[in-house]
Amino acid sequence: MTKILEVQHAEKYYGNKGSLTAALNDLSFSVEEGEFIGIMGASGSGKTTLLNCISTIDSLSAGKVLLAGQDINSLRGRKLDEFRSQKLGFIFQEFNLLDTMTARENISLALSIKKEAPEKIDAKIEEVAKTLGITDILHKFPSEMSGGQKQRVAAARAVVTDPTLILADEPTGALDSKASRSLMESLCTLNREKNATILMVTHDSFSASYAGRIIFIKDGKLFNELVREEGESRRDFFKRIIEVTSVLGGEMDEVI
Amino acid sequence: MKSFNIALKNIRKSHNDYTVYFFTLIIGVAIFYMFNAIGTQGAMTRVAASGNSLISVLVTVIRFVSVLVAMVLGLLIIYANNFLIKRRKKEFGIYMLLGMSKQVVSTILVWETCIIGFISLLAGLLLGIFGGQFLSILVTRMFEMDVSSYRFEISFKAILMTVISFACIFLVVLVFNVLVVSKKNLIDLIGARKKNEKAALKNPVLSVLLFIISAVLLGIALVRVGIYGMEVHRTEFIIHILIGLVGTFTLFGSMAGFLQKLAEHLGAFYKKGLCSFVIRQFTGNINTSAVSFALITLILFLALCFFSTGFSIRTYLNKRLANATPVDVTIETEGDKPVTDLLAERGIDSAEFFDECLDLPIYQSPRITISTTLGSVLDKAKEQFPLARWNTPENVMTLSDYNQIERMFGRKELSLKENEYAVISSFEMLNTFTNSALEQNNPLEMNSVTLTPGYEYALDEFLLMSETNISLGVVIVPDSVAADPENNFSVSGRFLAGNYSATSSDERYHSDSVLKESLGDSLNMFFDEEGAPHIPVTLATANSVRDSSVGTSVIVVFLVLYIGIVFVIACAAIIALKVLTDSLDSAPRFEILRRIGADEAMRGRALLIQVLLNFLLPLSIAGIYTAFALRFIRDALSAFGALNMISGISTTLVIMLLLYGGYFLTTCFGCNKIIMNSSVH
Repeated sequence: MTKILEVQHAEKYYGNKGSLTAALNDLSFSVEEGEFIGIMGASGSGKTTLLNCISTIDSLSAGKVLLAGQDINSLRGRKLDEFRSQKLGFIFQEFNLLDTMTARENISLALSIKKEAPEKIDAKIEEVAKTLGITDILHKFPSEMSGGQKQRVAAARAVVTDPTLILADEPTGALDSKASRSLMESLCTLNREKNATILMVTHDSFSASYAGRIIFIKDGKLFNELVREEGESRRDFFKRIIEVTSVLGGEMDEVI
Repeated sequence: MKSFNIALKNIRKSHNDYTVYFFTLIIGVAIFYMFNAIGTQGAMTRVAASGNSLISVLVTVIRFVSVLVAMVLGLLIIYANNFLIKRRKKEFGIYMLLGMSKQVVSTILVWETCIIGFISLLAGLLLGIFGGQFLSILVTRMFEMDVSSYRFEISFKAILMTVISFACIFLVVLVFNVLVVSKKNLIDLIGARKKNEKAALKNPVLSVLLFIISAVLLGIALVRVGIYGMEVHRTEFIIHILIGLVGTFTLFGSMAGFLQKLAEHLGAFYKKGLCSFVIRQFTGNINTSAVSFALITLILFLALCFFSTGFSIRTYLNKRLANATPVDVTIETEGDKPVTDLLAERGIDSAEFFDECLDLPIYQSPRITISTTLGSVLDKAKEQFPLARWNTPENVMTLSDYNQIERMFGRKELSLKENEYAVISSFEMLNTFTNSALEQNNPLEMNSVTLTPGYEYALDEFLLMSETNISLGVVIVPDSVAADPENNFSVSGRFLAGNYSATSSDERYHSDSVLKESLGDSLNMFFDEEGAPHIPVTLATANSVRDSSVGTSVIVVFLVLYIGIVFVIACAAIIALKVLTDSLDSAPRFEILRRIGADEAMRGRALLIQVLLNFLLPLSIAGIYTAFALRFIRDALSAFGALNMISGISTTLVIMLLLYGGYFLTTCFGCNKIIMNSSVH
């Protein structure tokens, strides 16, 4: 298996000379192709900073992020934008669908931006819509959909471009438990059937239990790592996650 | 004082929205001042000093128009202000939530309005005072006047008028603003969000249908009025105007649905880059503000018509003027006494007074009347001019006499055979008939000979100078015909054309008044036995023709500029404000685009196209309307002669480019700031 993502000694500082805060403190890990990885941590643990640095929205103070072997900190301007649209797919907590456009147009736009040939667009949308079970709502506007539907449309938009890596930021954060379950199952399907590599940031243990491996961050450092064993049920994996989060302490207790 | 500081801070903070508001206010004030100060500007006093009453007419007309302009500007300011305040309701709600009383919030708003009003009034007046100087230099250049009399002028009367008018407008704005805060409950203010984007017309099939119907009806109305306007019956004409009005509204009401369907059917195009996004944004815009778009289009249409027609008329007048004053003075008298004798009786020695002068007889013959010169087309002419007196004898001149005039006026001499005649006339409306009579070889039966036309059209020339250069015909006959006693020619009047021996401008004006005084008694109008007016002596000097022509030009140009500019500013400002506030709503959408990988160039282009479409859509539709309307106007004003619309249109384009383009650029920068700034983090 090839390594899709490598984070090497990532460091990120905020503030000025007087008071420096380390959001990321010598963090290293890697993600392999076809993996579904979860990143967990309390508020302020640095997981959002990490995601921002991987997604090229922010840059590291020190260290390296390699995506498919390429150092993304070396990219600037147009190349960076191109890289983002070609290699990455995003799923956000707030869906980030364009309210003025239908589901189909929202998904289609991601392909248009990637300069996909117009005649191939419809087939691609139909395919991904079928996988995510949103064929019936393609003509609807976001205001006419439920939260779960919106998030699945957002997921469809993220994967339709066949990105090297899908970044999901608290994808179930704005969903009820039923919609969360259905979205996570959709993501699992994508991971399994389309061999999509997914990196998901969450502080919800239930959502995390769908991942194959979980990295726990505390104060910008790697705190623990859990891997779902072959044949281990999701329920058992969930219990192990709960154990770690209770050790993580602090606000993480609220999750249970 | 605390609320004053908050007010100051608020203005600085929301300068993005306020740039356009300020811009508009300042231009509004400046224009209002400039035009009201016109009567006292140097260039104008020069014209007024020549005893031309047209300047006082101009001042009066501008004062009346100013009332209308003040109302338009007032409405614009109130609209713009409400627009800005609406967007800030939530902010006021937060002030109150934090424990500020309604009085204090109102006080903040009062301060804000006062600061804005004060600054814009001050800046506007300054701009107006300097702009006024520029304007008068422009006028001096435009009408080739003496620049030496130019002075820097400030009209305190105009300042007072401007201050009072705008103080009233701001007072109304103040009341509106305070009402917004004091009448609303906290929950309304906090919950104030933009209205849901509701389609004006939801059913796409219905919108497509309505759009096509509107477009077709508008097309028919435009073609009927624009191309066949002169033949269209009055009732039909009014119906077409109504269709134009209503059709504009339905066109915009259904346009969003139509464009969306059209774009989706284009398939590949819709799926390229951010096309689908831009189209959705734009159709959303049209949908939520179809009424504003329609109104803006109609007002722009009016402004464009004003500009083009006004400037065309000016060019026409100026061009006419150049050929209209070939000599210093022309005099026409009744009776057979030479004009020089008439002057000698009044103590003016023509040999001394004039450098060169011609004093020639004008003949009449019972055989040459308006009826006989029109011949077979008389019946048609009677339909057009039912009140004309057709048996009036035409003025006749001999060929050799007329050629003397031609030489003096610097025109080409005529040549006629012994049995030919020619007609000179610069009255275009009658000329269409005269020309067809001449073309049909209309004969003039004299006792000794039958004359046929030597030219197959009426020559566009004149004897007496006049401002509009419209003079009724003179028939030119060979000398032998007039000399033959068989033909009963009698001398009915005399015509004098002369150049003063005086050389300086002042002396020439003096010579004018000497002539006027000496001929004074006979310059009054008399009535003959039948009650028809006739003038025993007509005096036309180059100076008076030039000055009154300049005066007319000035009135036309200033009214057109005044009304036109205010209309254009009103439209452009409303579009700019709408686009700017819309861009606040669409900032999050652009952020999403950035996140899903649209690069900066792509987003910048999408934004530019969006702003451009908002500005261009009403302008282009108004432009189409104008193109047809101008055809109609040209036909309707054909009495003036062939108006060359190109000059008017090109001047209009320059003005529109400056005004409309200025607003467009300001809006672009504003939007760019709002949207690109918000996507930095």
